[in-house]
Amino acid sequence: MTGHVGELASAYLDGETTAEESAKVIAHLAECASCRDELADLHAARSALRGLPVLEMPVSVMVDMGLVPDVVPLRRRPIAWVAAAAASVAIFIGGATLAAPQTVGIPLDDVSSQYEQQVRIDPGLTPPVGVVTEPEGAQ
Amino acid sequence: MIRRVTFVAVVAAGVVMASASLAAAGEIPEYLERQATAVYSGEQSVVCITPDGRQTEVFEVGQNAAGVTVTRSQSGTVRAGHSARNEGWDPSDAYRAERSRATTLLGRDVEEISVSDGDVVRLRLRFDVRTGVLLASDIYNADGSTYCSTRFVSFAEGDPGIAAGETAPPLTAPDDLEATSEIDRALPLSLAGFERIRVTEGPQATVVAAFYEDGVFTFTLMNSDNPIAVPELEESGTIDFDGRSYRRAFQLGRAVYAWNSSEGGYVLVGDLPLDVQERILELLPEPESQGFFQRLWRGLFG
Repeated sequence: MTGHVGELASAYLDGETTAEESAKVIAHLAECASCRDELADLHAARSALRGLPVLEMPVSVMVDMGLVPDVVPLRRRPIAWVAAAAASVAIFIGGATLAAPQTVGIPLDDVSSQYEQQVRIDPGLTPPVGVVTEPEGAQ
Repeated sequence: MIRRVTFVAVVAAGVVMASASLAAAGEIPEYLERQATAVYSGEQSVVCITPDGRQTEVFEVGQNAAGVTVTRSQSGTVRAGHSARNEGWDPSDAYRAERSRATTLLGRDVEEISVSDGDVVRLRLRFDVRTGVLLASDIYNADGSTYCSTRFVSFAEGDPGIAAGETAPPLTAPDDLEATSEIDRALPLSLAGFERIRVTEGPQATVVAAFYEDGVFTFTLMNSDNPIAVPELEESGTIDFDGRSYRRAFQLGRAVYAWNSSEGGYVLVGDLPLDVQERILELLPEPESQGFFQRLWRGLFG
């Protein structure tokens, strides 16, 4: 190696030099105090950079920069939402069922009796076929 | 001259026919009044021809001053009959009564009177001239077919020996409910020539019942805000009139219909001929299936 380490210093620290280049750098550093200091400063600067906290880029900035196609909403705890919705529907149907009108059952005999009672008071002209009513005490 | 003679003849014929019609109309209440006080006994057969088949029953009938009794010959059950009409006959304007002919039945002189609704003969009545008792009658559908017939197959004047306790107690009209716009909407004041006579409480809570008559036929219409079911009709099939579906059953001399609609549940029971049944039903709220969610909706929002 005729000159100083120069640009090879950074590649050497990154492990990107070939075996031959690494051997030359090592041989040069053994003789050149200036290059050893330069390599030490470069290593310290890189370590300091790696120690800084990592900040996440805002999604809106990434969208503006075209780094992501669009914003996808995050799904958070879907089971809880489904359970809450199911409970609401169950409460609604239960309440509505209680409020729904109940069917009134009228036996056919009661229908007939109601009619016969009226016919006995106000008969039409048609003969009273089948219009018969129990007297008191009769079987 | 010929025209004048023809005109006079037509007018004379019209006057004679009108007189006969008025005379016949006047005779009916007279017969009914005499029948109410007649003392007699006999056997009466009743036959009704319905879409569900022929229905037949024979009754033993007896009447004296104590009242009238009717015994079902098949079951032997003694029952009291209705109180006979003894007031004036007041049919709707649609009906016309005409004396048909004088004839005999069971060896007795009878007078036959036809009651027509327009061109349709609805009733043919044969009254015993001597006692006023209605010995035979026929009710017709609009197509001229017979719906129901009654015939005394034996008849005798004389006291059948009915004791006072064997007859039904006198009936008084049930309390008429105060008519409201809601009642008038669900149970109209008039329907196809029938007038609403009274509205009373129905056989179940929440049910109101209106009784209608047109002077010849009668029916009761029941309504409830709630759906109505007549259990015996649930097992029977349904009958469709132009896509409107009803549950129906025939009893001797009457038809019963049940359905649910947007105006609530309905039951109709009456002695109407088949075509009149259909005509009345057409004028009432049409049936709709009451699915769970429909009832649910009605329960929530009315």
